[in-house]
Amino acid sequence: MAELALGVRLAFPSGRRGWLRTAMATAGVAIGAAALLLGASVPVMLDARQARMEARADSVAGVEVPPGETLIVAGVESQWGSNAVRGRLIWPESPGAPLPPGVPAFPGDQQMYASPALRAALAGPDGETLRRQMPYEVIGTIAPSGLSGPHEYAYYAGYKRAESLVGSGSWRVDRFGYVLEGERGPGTYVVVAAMLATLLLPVAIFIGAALRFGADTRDRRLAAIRLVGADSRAVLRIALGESLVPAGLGLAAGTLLYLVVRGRAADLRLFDVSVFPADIRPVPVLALLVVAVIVALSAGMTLLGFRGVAVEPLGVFRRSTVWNGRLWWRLLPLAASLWLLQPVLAGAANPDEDRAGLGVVLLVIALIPLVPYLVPLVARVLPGGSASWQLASQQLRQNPAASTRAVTGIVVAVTGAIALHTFFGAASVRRATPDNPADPAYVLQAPGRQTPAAMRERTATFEQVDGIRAGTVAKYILYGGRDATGTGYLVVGDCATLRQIATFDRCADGDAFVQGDTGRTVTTLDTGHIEPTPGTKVAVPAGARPARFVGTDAQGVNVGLLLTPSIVPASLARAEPWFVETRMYEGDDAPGTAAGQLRGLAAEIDPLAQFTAIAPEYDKFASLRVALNLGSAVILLMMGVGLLLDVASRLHDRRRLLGVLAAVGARRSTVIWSVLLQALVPVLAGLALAIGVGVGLGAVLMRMSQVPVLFSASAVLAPVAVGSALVLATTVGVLLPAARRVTTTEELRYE
Amino acid sequence: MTAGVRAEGGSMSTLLDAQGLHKAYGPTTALAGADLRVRAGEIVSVMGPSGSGKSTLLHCAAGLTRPDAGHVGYDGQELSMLDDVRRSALRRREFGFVFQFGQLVPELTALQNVALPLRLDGVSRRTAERRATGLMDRLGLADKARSRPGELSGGQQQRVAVARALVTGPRVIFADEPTGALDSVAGEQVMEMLTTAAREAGAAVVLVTHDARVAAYADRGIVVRDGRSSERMGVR
Ligand SMILES: Nc1ncnc2c1ncn2[C@@H]1O[C@H](COP(=O)(O)OP(=O)(O)O)[C@@H](O)[C@H]1O
Ligand SMILES: [Mg+2]
Repeated sequence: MAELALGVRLAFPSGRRGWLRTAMATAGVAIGAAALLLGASVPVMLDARQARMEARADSVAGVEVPPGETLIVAGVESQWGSNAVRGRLIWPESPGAPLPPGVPAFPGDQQMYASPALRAALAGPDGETLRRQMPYEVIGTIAPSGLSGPHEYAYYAGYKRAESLVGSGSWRVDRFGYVLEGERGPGTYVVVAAMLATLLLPVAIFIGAALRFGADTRDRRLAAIRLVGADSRAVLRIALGESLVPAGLGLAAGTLLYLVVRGRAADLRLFDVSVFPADIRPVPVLALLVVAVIVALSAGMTLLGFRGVAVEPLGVFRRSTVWNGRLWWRLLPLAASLWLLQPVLAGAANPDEDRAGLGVVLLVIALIPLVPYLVPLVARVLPGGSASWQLASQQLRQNPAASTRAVTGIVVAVTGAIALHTFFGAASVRRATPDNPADPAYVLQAPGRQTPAAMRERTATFEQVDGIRAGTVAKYILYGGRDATGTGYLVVGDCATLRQIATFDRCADGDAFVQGDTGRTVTTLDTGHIEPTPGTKVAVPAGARPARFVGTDAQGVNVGLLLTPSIVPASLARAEPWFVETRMYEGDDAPGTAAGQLRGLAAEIDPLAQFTAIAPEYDKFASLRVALNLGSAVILLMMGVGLLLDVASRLHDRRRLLGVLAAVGARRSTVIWSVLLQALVPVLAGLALAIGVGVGLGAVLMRMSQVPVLFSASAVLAPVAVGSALVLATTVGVLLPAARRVTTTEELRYE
Repeated sequence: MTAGVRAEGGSMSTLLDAQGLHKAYGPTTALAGADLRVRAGEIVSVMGPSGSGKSTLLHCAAGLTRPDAGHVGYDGQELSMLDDVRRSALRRREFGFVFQFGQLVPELTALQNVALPLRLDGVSRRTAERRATGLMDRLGLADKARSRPGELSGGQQQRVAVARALVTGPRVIFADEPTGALDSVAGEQVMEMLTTAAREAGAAVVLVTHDARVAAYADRGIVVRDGRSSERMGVR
């Protein structure tokens, strides 16, 4: 105990190097601790979010609630920029109807309670356009208890007309709070664990570098203590006590960092998900575990540092460890990861995602033992020529572990960055356009019957928006018998619009087209019933010519009939279609706000009409990419500083040798070059490995999520460029002057 | 090589007895049959040219280095038979060390450095620092208690080292070139304090030096040459 205390006392350093060492180690521990605490908060976060969603859940799927103390609800799911908008149109059937959580009272007809984020957006630029989607008078704010997160766009609007729509757009609820089907599997934990592992790895390497920096002063100190009578175990305890200081300070700083991040959590959004700071709490057991892990980690790294080291009263002796250059065990993690990834690589239809995820993490970890093997290999393979390279390659081969420690972190970080960048780059490329080029960008599906003139008017309404081309058809599903829900469509529309849906030779009003063997008549499905019910019988016109449905409409169509308005029989014109569909194509000249404008126009036609964006109106991964860039920047920065510390301390260790070399007449440039090569060759070899594995990993991720495998040079080269820039800055900025200093004979005289 | 030079030596018992020490570092032979005998309370100088094996002899005698051959007896125990824990305890309680430089812990204040052996021995901080303060006062370091070694002059640092060597009331102080890094004035001051304090405490001193003026502080001396020792006559 006294020794631990003495160690703690000793860890408060004197001198610049000592302070730097403690500060770096503390910073590393702090970042690690904050990350771990955030990780430990994820389960609470997810639970809280789930609880919030369940508390307001109003989906009574399949159950018909009889009228009574009930509320009529209609859902309006919409989108504004990158934000989903959750709208509910409500109308109480009795004063005892259930109030939605977070809403103080029922809003009157055409009045609404809006979430703070929505209110801010309505007050912001383009707020007028957004307003058209929800043209209700704002009379209050939804409290946090009714929201999934602080940035959620949500509103509850009073809407008397919902009364008349029960069964066709609205439904009754007798309470709020239905259990939602489990959204979160164990997979979430695997992902969180994987993220933490990949984050902690560079952090641990960084802490290791910080601790090694200035290890020589610690050695001298421990030897001095040994001389006055500490036995070897006491010295170990003192060293452990020393390591507790960065651990303790780091934990404190990390907790502070965590609290800062938590406080700013309300400003953060990822995947359109925002979290209330109050919902970010570590699971108590996990928080304790974090403390234990940090303490154990720093103690473990200290003990590891004493492996093969004898602290004697007359000095510290390092047993020179024999370099184990055997390859096979270094390949084990790689082999294991490839085995785990095998289904993905083989192109299995439904690979087990948890298994594949584990394989991906393992692939990154597999790099760690490979880098120290790669470096002496490169050193051996590169042709020996200049004296400086001979010197450098000798050092690299003799002690590859020392020369590659810091590099490993960079390799891992760059590999991860390349993989994720390529993956999200490809994913966002894919999602920016509809899967099928024949499909429109947006579709409005509104219930009710429309005259051809009204359909044309609706088309014209949407074509007011710049760059939008539209077309409106009435769609019926064809009745396929008692057991089938439908076999195809009957579509009524003008020639121009029908061309969007199917291919045929030519078209004039009065034409009809047919796909497949319809027989003489077709029957529409009456969609007003739960059981398949036949609707109107329609004779297939004698002059109908063949056509083929295209795009998404072609899926599941065996038979189909396309009619221009003037050939529509009177019986069909009176029948209620499945819905009237307006298809909107977005030209390149469409403004960025087009989607918002179209949604507003759609809401004015019918707030309950279904408006669907086939292609998302925004880059879904933008926020994730920002987070990713930030994360890789932080990690790379840490790695850069770690590399710097490592190189500086190795230079410090070898200054005598270098000084001797300089003194016996080796040219200074030779010595300096050898130092530079020693630092640079491992980095270059490591970056080459990172490109290879990173690209492979990106391909695996793309395959896993069925994104077409596609690489952009920038996604690969950006992390490499950042990594190289860091290394270059380190070498040129720090190593070069240091090497100069060491090779002047001044230093030698002191020795 | 029998008996001491000083007449009163006869009544004193041998405290430390090193005999026939051999030590080689690879091809270099540092000791080739050296002896060192120290009686309680006496000051023995070890002289010889640089590289002759003086330091190695001192290290072996103090149990810091294990000789390849030969015996080191201390107070009836064979040092080479003791494990690290017991040898460390000896260093803590029975031995004191003053080296040329580098034996102070730079992170600790002078007072903490002096108190360190007591603290390692489980003495409470209060007691340890009280005893350390008393000793430092006598060595003229009263106002340097809160200074760190880096802030002290070479002579002051060595006096701190002397205080630390004496603080546990040891029976042998091993001093290896204690004035080697000092100018002659500071050197004399340190030697004066070291020998006076050691005599007052009744501690023996093994004083390794190549400086005859320093050796003059000893009661008797030996000379080491090429790893072999011989008695040196006519001291004082
Ligand atoms: N740790 C060591 N490793 C290798 N050689 C050593 C070591 N310590 C001492 N020597 C060698 O042993 C010989 C005696 O050294 P030392 O006892 O230090 O002599 P002195 O103290 O008399 O100058 C010298 O040749 C020295 O180089
Ligand atoms: Mg010597």
